[in-house]
Amino acid sequence: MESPLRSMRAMRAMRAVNAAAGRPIPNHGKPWLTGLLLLGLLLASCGSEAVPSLEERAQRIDKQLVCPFCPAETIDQAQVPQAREMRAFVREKLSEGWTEQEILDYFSAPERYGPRVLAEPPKSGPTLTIWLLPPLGLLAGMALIFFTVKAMLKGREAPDADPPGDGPDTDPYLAQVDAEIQARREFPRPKKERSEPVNGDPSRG
Amino acid sequence: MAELGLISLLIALALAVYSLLASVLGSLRNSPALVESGRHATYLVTLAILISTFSLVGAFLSNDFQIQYVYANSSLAMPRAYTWVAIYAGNEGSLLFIAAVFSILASAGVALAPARFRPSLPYTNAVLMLIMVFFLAVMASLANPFAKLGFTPADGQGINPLLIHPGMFAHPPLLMTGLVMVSLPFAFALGALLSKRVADDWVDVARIWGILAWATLGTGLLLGSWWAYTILGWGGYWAWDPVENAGLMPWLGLTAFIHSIMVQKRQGMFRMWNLALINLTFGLALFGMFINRGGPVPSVHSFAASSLGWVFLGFMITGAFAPFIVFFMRYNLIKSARPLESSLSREAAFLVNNLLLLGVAFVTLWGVVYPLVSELFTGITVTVGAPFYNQVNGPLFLGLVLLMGVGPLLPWRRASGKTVKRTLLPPLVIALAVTVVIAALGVRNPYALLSFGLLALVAAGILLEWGRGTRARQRRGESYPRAFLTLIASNRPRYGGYVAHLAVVVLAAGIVGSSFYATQRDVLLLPGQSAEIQGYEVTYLESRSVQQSDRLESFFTLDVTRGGEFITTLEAERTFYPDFSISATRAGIRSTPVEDLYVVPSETREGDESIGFRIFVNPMVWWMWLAGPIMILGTVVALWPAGLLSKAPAPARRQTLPASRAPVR
Repeated sequence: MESPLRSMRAMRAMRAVNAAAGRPIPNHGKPWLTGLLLLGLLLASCGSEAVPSLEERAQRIDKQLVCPFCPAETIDQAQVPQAREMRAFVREKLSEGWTEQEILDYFSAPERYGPRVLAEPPKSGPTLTIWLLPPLGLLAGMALIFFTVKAMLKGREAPDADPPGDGPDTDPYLAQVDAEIQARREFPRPKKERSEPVNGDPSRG
Repeated sequence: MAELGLISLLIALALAVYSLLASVLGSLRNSPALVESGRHATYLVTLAILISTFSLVGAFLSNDFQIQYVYANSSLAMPRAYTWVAIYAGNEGSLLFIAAVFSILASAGVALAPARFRPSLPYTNAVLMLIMVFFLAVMASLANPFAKLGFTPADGQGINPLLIHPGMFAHPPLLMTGLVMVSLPFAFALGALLSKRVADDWVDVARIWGILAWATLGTGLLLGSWWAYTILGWGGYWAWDPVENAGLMPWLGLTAFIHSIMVQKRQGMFRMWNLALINLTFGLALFGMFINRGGPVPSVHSFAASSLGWVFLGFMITGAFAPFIVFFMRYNLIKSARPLESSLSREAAFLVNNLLLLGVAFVTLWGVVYPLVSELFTGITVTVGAPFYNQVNGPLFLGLVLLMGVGPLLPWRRASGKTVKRTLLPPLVIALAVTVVIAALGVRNPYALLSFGLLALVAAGILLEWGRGTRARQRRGESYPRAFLTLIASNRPRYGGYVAHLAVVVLAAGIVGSSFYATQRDVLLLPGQSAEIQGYEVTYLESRSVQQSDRLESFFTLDVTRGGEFITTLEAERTFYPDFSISATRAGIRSTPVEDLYVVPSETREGDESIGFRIFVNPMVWWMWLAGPIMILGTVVALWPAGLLSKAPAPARRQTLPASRAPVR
């Protein structure tokens, strides 16, 4: 119960600081920052989970070892006797003081089952490729989007030339068109909540 | 029966070839009569394939074990109702089933297309029939469901015991239907391209079929998870194995597609991208059909195992890449009606959404094919299991949830910082509050906290908008329920989408809860003994066994108490099939919105009365199953036909205004 209290205290402290500075609290200029800070605090304060028991550690290992006799199932899932024996072995070695990695290394040694017994391909050696490609692909995709958007935004220059820009917020012509279309629809809508008649109304996306 | 089935299969093949040729030639030579006759041939193909399918059903019902497929997938002891399952339990039968469903869908697609599709419809029909010819030709040559044995066995081998489950009546058919339904939006897109009618018309029809396929596939996947959860006996519902992945990938592609075509529908943008996207999705769906045909046992290695694998692979590559040739031939016809206006707009959010969805799809594809790649290039046999997918796809999914919260709140075209702040701040505050509350309740895992916070953001955004809209209408004198319903009716595609988003929130909440906070215990119990887990006291009472002709069924009764108070009695089942030397289990589950108590008899010992039970407490799994009905509801709302009709005048309105000032509908 320590950490949420701590973060709540932090929140209160922050409020106090804000109040002291004479800033209104709910519509504070940088609520994002406050939020991010809070979130950061929260995340930082919650790393402390209870030390896992031997059985919990064993179950974690079970989920990382593929049953060599029944493809595509971990020894945790598989119900064949060999998987049961492997589970018992994991527990035995853990109680003898082996680490998680030692057990995984034991099973994946070339003279035993080799790397195919690991549900998670090692992040080293030749299997590093499987881990590297996704982030690289994501970066490439983001770059592609970035340049596409940049190119598309360039094409906007022409219409943008007429002052003061045809942004929905400011263009009276568009607002009027929209209002007329609106009037022909089934329901006349209340104008009150829509300070941006063209695009601001989220119900018309 | 076998003869009738095979002959009608061959007739269907001939008709499909005729329909294909008539459509194309009739269109090229400008002969409406020929085009019409091609269309009619499509309907006849459906009829012929249905006759063929019913022949197979008849063969199953009359225990015609001379037919190899019937022999391999049924037996005298099989419950009759499972004939339906047996039809698609194996390779050949599932192909026939796919062909039958596909032929019905193709006929429906062609028959229901509005009149304005007349110029492109022959090409659409031709594309559909080309796919049809592939399935029929494969069955006629490599995978004949009516192939006969040289003798007539007295009894069949029987259906795979793992398929004896109510979920199997709906899960595989829905999955296969969803996969094959992707062909329809694809065929309409390609038809539009081939006939050079690349305006936005095809999007209307593609949207409907796309959403239908999305919902069908989604329901199929969810039912598959439910099946795995109740019968596979390891307490989980998703293992990232190739069969599941093969269904997930096209679903992700469809999800990207039904989002990004909204941009084209509304703004006339992303035209090229949408064509490419449906093409990719079709490729993934073909891959899914290849992996999925033939029940729950195939693996990536079936590529090499039979010539059928190579044929499928060839068709898949052709199907995924050939359309791009058409695409580039028509390249100069496909232009966006309007440029992107701002990187802070819903269009831009959709671009990122597409990137992430395809990112997950390709990570998954990469994981599925990696063992092959590794073996081919390094000679090392590796396994790619759940930890890989969870680690790589997990963050991508979180990004998607964030976008699901932010994207719908962004206006089309461009947003000012002010608008964004105003619409985004309230949900953000609520999300933070929720995060703080659940942290106070004891949730410590940072990923779980972040996930729940993001899910709260999405839900809050949707509910706040509904609340605002309902209140505005209520002030004009409508009652609250009526105001809410008219609000929903005012923009069904959008609010149907919101319902679907809520379904995803509910689903994701279940996944996050159960994957971070499941507890598991393995115990060995004698009758009368009990085990404790998470405050539950589970007592093994007794077992009874029933010997059936092909299996030994054992039932285990367990009492559950909590704090001395009786809660429920669970019955778990373990059935041994000597012919297959497989034990199928069925878990005893007590499901509540808070958590599931899940007991499965995981081990029996020869000459020992004690039974090994595996007991789980899985939080929030209940919510995952709730997501299914909500998703279907969202689909119905989004596709309700009136919304579709009101879209018709749109192009006219667009034309009356200068292009740069085209209004947003």
